[in-house]
Amino acid sequence: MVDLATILAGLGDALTLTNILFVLSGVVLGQFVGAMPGSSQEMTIAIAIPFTLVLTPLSAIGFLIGVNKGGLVGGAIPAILINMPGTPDASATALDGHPMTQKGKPLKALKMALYSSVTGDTFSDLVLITVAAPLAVVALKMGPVEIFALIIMAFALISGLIGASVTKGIIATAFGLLISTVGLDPEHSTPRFLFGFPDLYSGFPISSVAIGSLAVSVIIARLATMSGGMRPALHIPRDQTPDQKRVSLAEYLACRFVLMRGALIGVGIGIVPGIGSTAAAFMSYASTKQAAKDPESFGKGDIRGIAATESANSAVGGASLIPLLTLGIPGSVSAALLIGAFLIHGLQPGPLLFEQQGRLVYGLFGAMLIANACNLVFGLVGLRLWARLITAPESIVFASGLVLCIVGVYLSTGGLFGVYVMLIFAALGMGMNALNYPVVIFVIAYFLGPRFELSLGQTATILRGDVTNLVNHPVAIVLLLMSAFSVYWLGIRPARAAREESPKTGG
Amino acid sequence: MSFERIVTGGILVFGLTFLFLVLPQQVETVSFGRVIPATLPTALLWIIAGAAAVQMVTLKDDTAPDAMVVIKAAGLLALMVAAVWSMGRLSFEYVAPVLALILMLFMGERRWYWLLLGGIAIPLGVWLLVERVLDRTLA
Amino acid sequence: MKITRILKATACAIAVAMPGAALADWQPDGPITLQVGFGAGGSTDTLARAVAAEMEDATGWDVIVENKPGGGGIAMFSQLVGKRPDGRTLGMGVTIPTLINLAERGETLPFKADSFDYLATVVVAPLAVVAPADAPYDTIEELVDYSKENGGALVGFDGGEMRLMMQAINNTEDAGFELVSYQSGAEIIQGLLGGQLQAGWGAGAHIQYVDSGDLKMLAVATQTRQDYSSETTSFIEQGFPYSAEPYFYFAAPKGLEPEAREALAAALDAAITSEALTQLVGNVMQTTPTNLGAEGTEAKLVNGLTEITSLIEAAGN
Repeated sequence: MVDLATILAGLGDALTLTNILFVLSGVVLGQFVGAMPGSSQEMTIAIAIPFTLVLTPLSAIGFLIGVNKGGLVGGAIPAILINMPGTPDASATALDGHPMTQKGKPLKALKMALYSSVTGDTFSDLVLITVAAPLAVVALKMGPVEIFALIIMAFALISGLIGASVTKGIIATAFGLLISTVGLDPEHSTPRFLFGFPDLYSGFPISSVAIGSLAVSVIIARLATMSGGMRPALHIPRDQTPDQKRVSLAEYLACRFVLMRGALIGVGIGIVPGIGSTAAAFMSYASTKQAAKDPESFGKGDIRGIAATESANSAVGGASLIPLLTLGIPGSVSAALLIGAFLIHGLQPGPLLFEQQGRLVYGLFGAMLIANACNLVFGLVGLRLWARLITAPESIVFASGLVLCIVGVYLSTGGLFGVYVMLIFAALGMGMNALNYPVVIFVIAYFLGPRFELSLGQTATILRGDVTNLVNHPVAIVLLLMSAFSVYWLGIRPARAAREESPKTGG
Repeated sequence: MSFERIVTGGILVFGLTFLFLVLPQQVETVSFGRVIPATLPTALLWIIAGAAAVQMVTLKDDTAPDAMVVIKAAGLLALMVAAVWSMGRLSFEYVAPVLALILMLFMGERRWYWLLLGGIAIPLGVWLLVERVLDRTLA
Repeated sequence: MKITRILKATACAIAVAMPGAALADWQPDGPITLQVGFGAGGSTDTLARAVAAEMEDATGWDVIVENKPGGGGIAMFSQLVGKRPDGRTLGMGVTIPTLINLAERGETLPFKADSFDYLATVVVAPLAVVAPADAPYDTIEELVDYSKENGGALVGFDGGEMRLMMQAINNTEDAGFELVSYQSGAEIIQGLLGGQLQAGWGAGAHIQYVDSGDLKMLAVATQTRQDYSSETTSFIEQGFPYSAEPYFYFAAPKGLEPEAREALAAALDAAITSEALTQLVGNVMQTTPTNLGAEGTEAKLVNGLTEITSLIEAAGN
């Protein structure tokens, strides 16, 4: 496809000092912004793109890749430290990350998140660089029917997180999907549930729903239950043993299967556009929990929970460039923004990309690997800094957090309407949390909703309204059978067990 | 009747109201296509109503939230709504410090240096960063 | 080499920061907000950002791009109509989705076709129907025959006008096309290359696949033929009296002062015909910029409504 000289020249371009500095500054900015509650790397990329116009194409793309990758690492930081995910993906990381912090091991949790993230990311990038061509062929064969089956499978796996009450889980899922139907329908482009608000044509803004129900709800609930007295938002015991602060090689290696599964799920989800890293993180978490001998230890500060989610959500990144570079199909919002930037800088995704722009593409691959190294090195420095910052009094951390959520949603939705929507979903999130309706399931259902409905319509047309035509889609049949099995194995059985264990409380 | 039953009943009523009253008004009818605009919302509303009906019978939990906490949370939300509303009227750089200060005082923070940092320096720093450095407008 | 590039970049940055020569007497009293009726990252957004950057370069005005996606621009125009006509808020949309919404549910929308002052068009999307290169049909008529013999051909689309034209052919020819909705032209191409679709609509993304030999053209939907494939006939030439020419266009709330309208139209025209835009439009849409000017744009929107209404009638919905 591309000769070795082009590959080496491209990688060489990436290794110049200027480019490394741009990638590094991208990573630093991405981690910083990702760590701010209420912001997202999508927003950062959108704001950063105009500033890259004056750079050379490779520096510009390297910088944006750095922002994107840094944001993934940064998002885990507030999730672990104050249970307030900076990015929706990180809400999966918070499930075990925050309990570890409460047990006095925040640095250990942060480091595991960093190592897992870099591991998944690097694996995914290597897959992209080495086997992009055959995987692109696989991606082509994943038509609407197969994608529909894959989304069903995502729901099935995530049913493992449904909690003790099946009915509450079902209500949360259906409600998340229902919220996603607000706005234009994907098949006929007719408006639905607008109630006279033209802003709702595009539906409830993703950032408003996610930040409102996951982050703002948690801060307000925390403020409402505070009983006076000023504590630091995070207390790190002074006399920690090294074991509480670092992740040993043995601990890392003990998670190797978890990391591998996470990375594979991430790559699999990444090459199929439209499902997204949040779903990958939760799929990996749910299947790791179920595969463990002691599933009850998850949610209470199990380091494998962090390894599972962070490896999976980071592994989506590299793989999602496969449909992006070969077909121009973005797998996520940030990938969509990257396409825009690629086009501005003369990188035209499509069949001729490797032939016409081989050197630049391999320069991009080189920049991705450099970004991973920067993420690791700067991450280790940055984590300490963040852990220290959050030892400030909780008054300042939470007040600033709420102000940042308002600013972040305002910027990403382009107006106050999105901020009001955020507050509505904050109220909803608080109510759901208080009554044990699973908020994360609600949010994932909301994320998957538009793609679910679109592929439902496509599938109905392609099968010409006749389910028996599924016989022409063996991959879809296999995925659907696996889904049915997972629902029973991950959702119904453990829920029943949990109910029998604690018939009164549940949760 | 427990608090959770009342909520479940509310969900049931919501499902049925939307199904029979709201959906016909808020969703257009089209003359073609296998999946029409109403297909998915109708199915979801039936699922919500059905699950709520089952839950009315099977419900064993009874989490009654602390009334004081609910009042405080509602007050905080109202404060945020008021702050966002005034941001639209005045502008961000005047409202955000007031909001941050009220929140910090509510939490019991009385040390002036922390109040200065969290109530003035951080909100104004964010405003400067967004409006002056990034060149974006805040309300 | 690298150093000189950086120096050049810095010089550019400084040049941008300094107010350039004004094109006309009128000056905006503050930054201009350009609202894009589509999401970040798409082709519309990319074009808008490039036009904004070129305008900043040439005039020294501050132009901020904001995304207000939804309803093919309807969400954005619904808000734009209420803004003050001081030349500081502009919108960018695409003609056909706006017109379809005006025709199908105009009474529910807060604006009409004449609620805006129109300023310029950027480019017309090169709409065409394509098929896999080895497909046993080369024209729409042959596709109709194939569809009748095989129980309905699957045709991918991602815009209302595409669906309407195929439905119109279903009505007159009894073709039985099964229309599959997609989110973007790129995904339609995936469906064609992956063998899930027998034909599909392209709005620019298809061209390089035609060049690479993976796809072939069946017909163009514009009234005239398209440069990159001048041998491909139009729907009209093939005997189907339908066409669609979606223009990307700029508008402002109605009531601009004449000087402001003139200055904005001139600034937009300079940006649209600049070399950078020509290159970008070549990259993004595989075609060249077309500015119809303020009056031409207005005509497209105001006259376009009757054309769309008759297409909707032909489609039977």
